[in-house]
Amino acid sequence: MTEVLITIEEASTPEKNIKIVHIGGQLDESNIDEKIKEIYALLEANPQNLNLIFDLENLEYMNSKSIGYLTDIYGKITEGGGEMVIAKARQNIADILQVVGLTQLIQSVESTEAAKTALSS
Amino acid sequence: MIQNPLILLGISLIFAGIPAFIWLYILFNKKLKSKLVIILVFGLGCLTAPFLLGIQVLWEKFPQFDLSHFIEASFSMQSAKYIMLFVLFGAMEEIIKMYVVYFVDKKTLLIRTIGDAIKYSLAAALGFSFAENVYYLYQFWPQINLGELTGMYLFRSVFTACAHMIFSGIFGYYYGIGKFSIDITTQQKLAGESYKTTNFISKIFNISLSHAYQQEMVIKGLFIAIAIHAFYNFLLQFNIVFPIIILVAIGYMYLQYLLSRKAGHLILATDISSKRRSSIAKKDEDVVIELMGLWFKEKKYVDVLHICERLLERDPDNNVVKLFKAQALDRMNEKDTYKKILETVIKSKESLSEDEKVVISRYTEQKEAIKKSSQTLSQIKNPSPQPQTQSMQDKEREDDKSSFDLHLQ
Repeated sequence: MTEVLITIEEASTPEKNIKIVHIGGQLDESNIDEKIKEIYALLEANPQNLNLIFDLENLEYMNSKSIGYLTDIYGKITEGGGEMVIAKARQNIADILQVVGLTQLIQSVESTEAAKTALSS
Repeated sequence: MIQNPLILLGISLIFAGIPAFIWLYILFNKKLKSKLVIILVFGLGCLTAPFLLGIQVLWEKFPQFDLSHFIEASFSMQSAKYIMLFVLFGAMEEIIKMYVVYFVDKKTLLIRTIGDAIKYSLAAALGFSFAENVYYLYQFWPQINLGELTGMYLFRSVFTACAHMIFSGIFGYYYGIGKFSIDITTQQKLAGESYKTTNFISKIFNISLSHAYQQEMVIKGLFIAIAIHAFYNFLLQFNIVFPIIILVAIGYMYLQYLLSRKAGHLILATDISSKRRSSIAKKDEDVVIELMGLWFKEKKYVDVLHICERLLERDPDNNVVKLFKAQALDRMNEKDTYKKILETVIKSKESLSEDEKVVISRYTEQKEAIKKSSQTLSQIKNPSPQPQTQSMQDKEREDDKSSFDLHLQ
């Protein structure tokens, strides 16, 4: 099983419910179904107005299934009135997201601070 | 009555040449680049009919090698005998025409698309038909009356020539599929196609999947061509024109359908030394292509097209992506407005329907919104951005234009 680490950091402001999801390692067939449950649990706990920042600084690889999950999570968050931003994606991850077209739906920024600013605006 | 054999041969050549020239003009007039090759293939096709005649002459001299005698001796039922003879002669003609295409492909490497394979097969078939017509005119001119001769001439010029082209054209399509088996099998595997027969052939003969697929396609194409040819020969014996017309018409429509498919026009044979490098890492590109395959299986053809466009900007010579794009376009509903927009050259706003105008304006609004939001973000990062120069504006316009470029040649 490939190593992947997902941690969730609280970053809420008085106005907005913000969580930062730090993903490090490699998301592939061996771990994606198991690990993604943690994020879906977060969505269940915060069904409305949840704003997520995905910190992908340490994410080395993501497979096609994880892209599908990302799209689904985006859909659920926007349905609940929230927003989603991707921060610090490595070049190869950014390439994948750009080609797949996710960057046209989900903002991609270079730092978590910029992500927080984007969510605040 | 023409007595001189040389004059008779000359007249047969002229009369047989008229329909051959007309067919060549109808099929290949617009293809300026490859006319010389087409003439070469046509010439080789002309040699196939005398070659087969030569085999039949040899069979008369050496009856122990005569396959038609073998069939007549093997089958007692008259109908079975005739069917097997039709299959035998159909097979002989299709195999010899196949070798013309194979020879041209190996010697000239000019078959770069599936459409090319079909095209050269048609030229070989026309050559064969021309040579056959010369023979028939030369043989029957002194023997039958003018009315019968005219009927035979017109029938052979139109229907038999067409029939030969259909048999060979269908073979050419499968030959083309087999030739580009590596890219095609990769794309089709990602699109969810299963390969039970190919896997079986691969295991039995201990060859790669793509090689097994190539052999399977050549045999399949040959088998279909022989089957239709044998059926055509079977119909001919009844001397009723109508079923032959139906068979030729169906075959012609099927060939037109194969020729119209976008995948047939893709240039799949590329010189490796001139192949442009991909600007996305292979591992990451594989992830995107895998996702493309998943969406293709789910029939999300518009999404597949979008990904193909973006990926081809990064890796323009990726044949698997080009195949996905062509297949997505082929499979999209004909009434799909997006497909109509991609396929139609829009001459003016007045030529657009209301639906098309709505789709275009929505697309333009979305693009503007995305551009504005990225400009706002860059202003946050860099409060005093550089003004856009004319060349930057021109490049943006070029990028927008190329987003509908189908990468087809």
